[in-house]
Amino acid sequence: MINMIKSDIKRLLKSKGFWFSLVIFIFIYVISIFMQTSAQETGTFSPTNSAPEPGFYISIDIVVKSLNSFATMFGHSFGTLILGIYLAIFVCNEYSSGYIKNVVTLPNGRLTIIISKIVVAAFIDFIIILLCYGIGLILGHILIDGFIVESMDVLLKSSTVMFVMTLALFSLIIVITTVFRNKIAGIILVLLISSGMLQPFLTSLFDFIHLSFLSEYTLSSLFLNSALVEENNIIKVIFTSLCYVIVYNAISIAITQKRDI
Amino acid sequence: MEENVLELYDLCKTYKDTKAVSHLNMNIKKGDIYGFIGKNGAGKSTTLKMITGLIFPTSGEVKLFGEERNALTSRRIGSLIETAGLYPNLSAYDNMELKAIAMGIDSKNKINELLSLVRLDAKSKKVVKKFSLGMKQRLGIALALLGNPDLLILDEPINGLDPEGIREVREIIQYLNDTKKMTIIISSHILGELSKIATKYGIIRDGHVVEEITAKELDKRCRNYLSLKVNQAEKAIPLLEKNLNIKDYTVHENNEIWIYDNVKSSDVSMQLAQNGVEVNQIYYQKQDLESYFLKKCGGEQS
Repeated sequence: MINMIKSDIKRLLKSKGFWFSLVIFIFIYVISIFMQTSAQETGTFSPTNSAPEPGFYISIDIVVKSLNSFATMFGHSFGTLILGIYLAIFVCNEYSSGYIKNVVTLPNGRLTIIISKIVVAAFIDFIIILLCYGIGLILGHILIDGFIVESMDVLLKSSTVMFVMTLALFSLIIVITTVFRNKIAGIILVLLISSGMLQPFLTSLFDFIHLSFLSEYTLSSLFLNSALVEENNIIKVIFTSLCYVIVYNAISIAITQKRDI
Repeated sequence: MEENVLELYDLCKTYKDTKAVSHLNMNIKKGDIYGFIGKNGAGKSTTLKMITGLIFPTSGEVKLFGEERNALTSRRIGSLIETAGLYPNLSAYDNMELKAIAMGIDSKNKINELLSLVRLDAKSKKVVKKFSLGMKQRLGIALALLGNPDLLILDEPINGLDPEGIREVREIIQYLNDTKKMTIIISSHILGELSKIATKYGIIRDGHVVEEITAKELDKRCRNYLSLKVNQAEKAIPLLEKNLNIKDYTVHENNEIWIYDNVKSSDVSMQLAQNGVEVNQIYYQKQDLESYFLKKCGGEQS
């Protein structure tokens, strides 16, 4: 199992697409931070540490002043979107190239190809968090007047929430790409969920079946409100995300174990 | 005693209402180069995929090296099924390295050795998507050879290759069998090529093996012979042995005699007629390898 994980990490690091996606993500994140700088220089804006509304932000009507806000409002959403698209391609390439035939026949190959993808997803997730805080910290100090760095406790809690939420979405991408053997399905899904565009549909659906309370537990809802997670909701969000991680990956493993390649 | 490398018992694979493979039995001994022959859709690839574990049989049993499939037997198989599964944006070496890591092989020398065996440059940075079909197939064979398998399964490895590419693949297969005593299953439509290397053949038709035959038996069956049908074979044989000096012949049902010795049909019929043996039918049978296989595979009316 360790060998398969090493092999997939090696493939990730050899992939130009991965480095290209990282560059795109860093570029957009840096642009977002720079737009905050220009906003604070050109007008009078009220500073904020939390997003007034959920969604993607390349915003100039507020000036974000804290590290955690940079990471949760700008970095995490764009990182998940861009690297999520790459993950769908990464998983799908194994099928489309036919390389899966080389590894699935190895001892426990059917189990380890999914586990190695989960590890790759966690690795990418970790890099997103690292870049969110790393770039935010450096550019925030340089560019933002009165830049605030929250306590380590707050940063750890936020990064844990972001990590498990992204891992849940990446697990969903793995299962969808594995089922359909198609990267487009995974890409559409990541766009719908990480942008929150799926949420109105899900809310209506749950309302229709009189289970409205469930709509706040959807992955789409978690992402839509990722920048607004309050202290008392952290455990609930982490637990819900972990449930998704377990369920999605169990489905991926079950399908791969039973299916003809 | 010769070790059984592969045994298939009553193997079946059904897709909805279609029987891709039906009650297939097969037995391959260590050191065989097994030519697996059949028309498109006969069930060759499905069978090979079931052997490698890519697809699951609907029923039946696959025994590898005398055991049920397990982690150990899986490691002893190398396969190239249909096209070589390669990452197009990586070089030959990188593709090899990824599989080597996945198998726990930590030896650059092994990768270099296998690439050199299939005549590919280990140092080349050329990505696989720029390779010719022949290069891709050879790289696929190199990938299959990682881990020193005892059984190598090649599904249509020479499909689409030019004559030079076919010769190169043939030489690699022959080398592996000669030097490493590797057992090789190779399916192909190109019967002439297959006949140059195979030691045993399995002919598959409509999902089941219609005949398993050794290369020696096949040679014998594909010889030219004079076929004659007489009313008394037991009287005809001594006459032909004595008067025409025939030695190489076989007697079949319904008083049919096949004479492999070089004799004239006129001499045979005259000799038998003069001695009161009635000849009902006499003709020369010429059968080459291809027509034999086509007949068995269902490509021609038998």
